[in-house]
Amino acid sequence: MALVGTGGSGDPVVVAEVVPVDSEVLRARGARARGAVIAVLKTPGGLIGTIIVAGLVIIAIFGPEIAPYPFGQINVNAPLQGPTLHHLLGTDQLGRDLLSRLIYGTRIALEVAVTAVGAALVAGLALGLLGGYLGGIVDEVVVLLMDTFQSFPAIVLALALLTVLGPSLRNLISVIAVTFSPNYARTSRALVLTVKQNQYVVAERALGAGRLRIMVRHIVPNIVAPLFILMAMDIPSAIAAEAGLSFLGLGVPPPNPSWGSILSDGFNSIYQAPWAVLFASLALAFATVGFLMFGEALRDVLDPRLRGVSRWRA
Amino acid sequence: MASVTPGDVALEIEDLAVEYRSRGSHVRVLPGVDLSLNRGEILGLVGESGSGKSTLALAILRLLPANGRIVGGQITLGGETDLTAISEESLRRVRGQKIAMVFQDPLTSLNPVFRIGSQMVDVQAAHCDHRVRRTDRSEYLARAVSLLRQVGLPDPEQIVRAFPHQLSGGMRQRVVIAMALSLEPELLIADEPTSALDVTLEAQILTLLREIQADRDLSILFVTHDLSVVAQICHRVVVMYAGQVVEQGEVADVFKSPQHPYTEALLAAVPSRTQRGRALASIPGQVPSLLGELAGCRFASRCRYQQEICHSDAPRVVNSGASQAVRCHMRDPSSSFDRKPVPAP
Repeated sequence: MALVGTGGSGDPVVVAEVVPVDSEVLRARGARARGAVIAVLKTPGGLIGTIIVAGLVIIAIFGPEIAPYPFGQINVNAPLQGPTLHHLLGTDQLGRDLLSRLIYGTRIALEVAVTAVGAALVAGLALGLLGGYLGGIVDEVVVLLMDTFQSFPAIVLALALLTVLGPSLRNLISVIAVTFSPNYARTSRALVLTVKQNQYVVAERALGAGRLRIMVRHIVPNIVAPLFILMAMDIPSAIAAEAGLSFLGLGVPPPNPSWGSILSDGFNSIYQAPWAVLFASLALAFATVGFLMFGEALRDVLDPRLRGVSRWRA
Repeated sequence: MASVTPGDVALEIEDLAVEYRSRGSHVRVLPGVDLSLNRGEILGLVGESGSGKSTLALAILRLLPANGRIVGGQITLGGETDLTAISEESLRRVRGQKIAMVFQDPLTSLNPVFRIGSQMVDVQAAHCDHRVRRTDRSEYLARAVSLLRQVGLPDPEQIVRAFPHQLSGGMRQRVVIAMALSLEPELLIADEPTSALDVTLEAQILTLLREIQADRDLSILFVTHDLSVVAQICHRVVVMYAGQVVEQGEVADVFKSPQHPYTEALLAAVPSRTQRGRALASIPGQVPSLLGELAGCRFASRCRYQQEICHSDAPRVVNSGASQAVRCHMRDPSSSFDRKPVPAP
């Protein structure tokens, strides 16, 4: 390929009147993202975290294909079994296959965590952007709203909201999103306040850019990296929150399997069959640790200033 | 030097007053500025820090910080539009298309997360009246490349692909100038565009601005604290002190025989080779605080010719010297200023 070149395409002195358009400039930035992924994979924690996260995602996506039984299939003849060849992880008090239930539980855990944290990010970013950029009364309202939400302990707030709304998948996701969003609003507001001081924001205004364009096109790309880190670190918290609420019976309604409800069912028969509690806890621990390792590796890559700072919320 | 046809005014500022709110009180940083900029002219706006020159530049495009606002006066563009009265949306069209601005620090004037080409395309797309298509974007990029070549950047095809941090300060300022020119404005406001650059680069950028001005018949409002820069590229100069215009006139006349004591002191403060070994000249005292009421001439307490009247009565603006308008009792024939001890101008 390099040998073909009669047109002298590599000659930098050629000054053409009609300038060839390079689509690389118009296309967005793919190289940076690729670089970040490679850097994450190069750290041991990042590699392990990525493998666990990738494994969970695959299990969640192909759940119905992998699971040996439907999650709700009751077998009254074989309750509370230990691991056997038929039921690799045993069965619960209704004879339902534990492995299948855990696989479907992965699906629910990820679905809830990712959607909730994503929604929290979008809502928080929008509020933080408006408050931070517009300032004044809008900012006051945003800050007041976020302070009000944050003045409740997250779990108490979630419990109260779910008790009022009633347990369902949609309510669960909304409630987790609401409890997580103030953090995103505060973080993005703080970042916007810094970024909007930059001269290029005034320069853009001087060139006739409107408020919306400045907020969305110019400020957002400058602040998303820390928010993505926050998101990666919040997903394990959201998984734990989902399991916790389901454990208390306020999460995913039965018979849908959630790791939390599997745990809570297992507790009733822990003396006869500790398997349910054991395997459900393991799944939860694995997922949480995996996402956390992935998140920390991502943070180290995207924002070296925060290296080593640990973030763990109750 | 300036080929000025009367009536051919690009920008007319009349009695412009700007206030900043500070801890509950209002500070009137510009008490009422009059200024006119002719078409095809480079007007220098000089003054020391805090004289209100940057505030004036920002006020023209209504880009004042959140605590600042225009409280009076008019800014007329091209003899018709009053920029202080039009809607934010109409103003958005003036910004960039009619008046563009170049800022002091080229290092922070570009968004660090976008390539140069994408930012230059974006500016043009933002002012496009119809929906922007892919073919438009290719056309904009081609225009960006040609603009970058016009501002003297080598290899513009590579530069559009670069991120701002990959370019040097001088290159970035050229990019910023190219971006400012991309919508073919009639007026360019340059707020200390060379203060962050070293001397060689400064000379290059000044030459570039003068060439651009001549090629495009652009009007430039050049804000600076550097008198030597004014001498190099401006046609006329406006000297500001504590928010007021104290002297304006043709550059050659102002430099040859400054009519206001402040201009005189400023010119004397420029370091020169012939004064080696002597202490550098400066103006004793400092710019008065604008917080209280100011009676009399604002420069009075630092003026070497000060008399009683200077502290009690505000001076009028009078014509003086070859082409200047001056705000000083000393030059006002109707003032009771005692002219005997003063050397003739």
